[in-house]
Amino acid sequence: MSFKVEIKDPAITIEEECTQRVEFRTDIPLDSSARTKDVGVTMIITGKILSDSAEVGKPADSTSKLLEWSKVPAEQKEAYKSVVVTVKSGGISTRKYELPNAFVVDYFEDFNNQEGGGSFTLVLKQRKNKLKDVKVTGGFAE
Amino acid sequence: MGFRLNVDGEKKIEFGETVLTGVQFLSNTPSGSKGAGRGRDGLNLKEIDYNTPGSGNARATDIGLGVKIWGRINFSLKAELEDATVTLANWALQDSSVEAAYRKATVQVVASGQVVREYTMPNAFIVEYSEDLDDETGVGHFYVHLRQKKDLNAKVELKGGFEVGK
Repeated sequence: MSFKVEIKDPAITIEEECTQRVEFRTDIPLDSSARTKDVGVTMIITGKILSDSAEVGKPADSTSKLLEWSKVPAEQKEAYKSVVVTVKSGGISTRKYELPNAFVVDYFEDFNNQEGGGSFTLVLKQRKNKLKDVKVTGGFAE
Repeated sequence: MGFRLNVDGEKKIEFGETVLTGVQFLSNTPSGSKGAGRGRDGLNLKEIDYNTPGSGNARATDIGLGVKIWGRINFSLKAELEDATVTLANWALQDSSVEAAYRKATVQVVASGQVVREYTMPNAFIVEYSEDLDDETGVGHFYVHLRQKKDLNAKVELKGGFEVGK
């Protein structure tokens, strides 16, 4: 299983070698007695930060662009981006998550001196008033 | 994977690969219901309940940027090298009454001859500092958590994907 993470405006494509885990979850208050109206969507993407000196002058991966995104405050329109995650198994896209107005809740980068690569954790949410624009699709023919 | 930390000031702090053992970068949004500030800083992801609707309906302006650093205290025998962890410990004790409470800190992550990341916080201050010593390992360990002064977040430089050899 591999993940294709595409972020638009401006475009960031995270390499498939980087992304290790994608968690898609709906946020429903646990204390509700009946169905809530206050539903949220969170997506947590974790993966590797690769360093590669094989190709001189080329950055090894695009994760540094996530780092820049995590710094953008709400005043700027770049704070919201469209995020599409496609899950692929056996050459077929099996699932597709679309968050057209995603923003960064938390972002972490972890490094230690016992491993050759670092790791990142990106916590995204869909803007709540645009929740109905979230799409989860699957069962594609090809 | 190695790390370097440089801190400006009257007494400079310079740590290299032999001292630092781990680095974590954090960009946090405060939890909506729990107020601004340090609510969520330093928490492990597992401890954060993202099921709480209060944790943000839209992007916040009040984001916190910081770096956590772990390293060894290599006690300098016969004082042939100045131990910069002493300077770090004294910085941690400094309250906000003097200008030196804020310093410029630069962290580099280096692997295979390439600078993978460079975090520069021109107005960093310490929110957590601890030292850990025992009679077993021969060296001590320290942990420091730096944050950028929040109103100056725009001055933080986050860089990655450098060319080889730089």
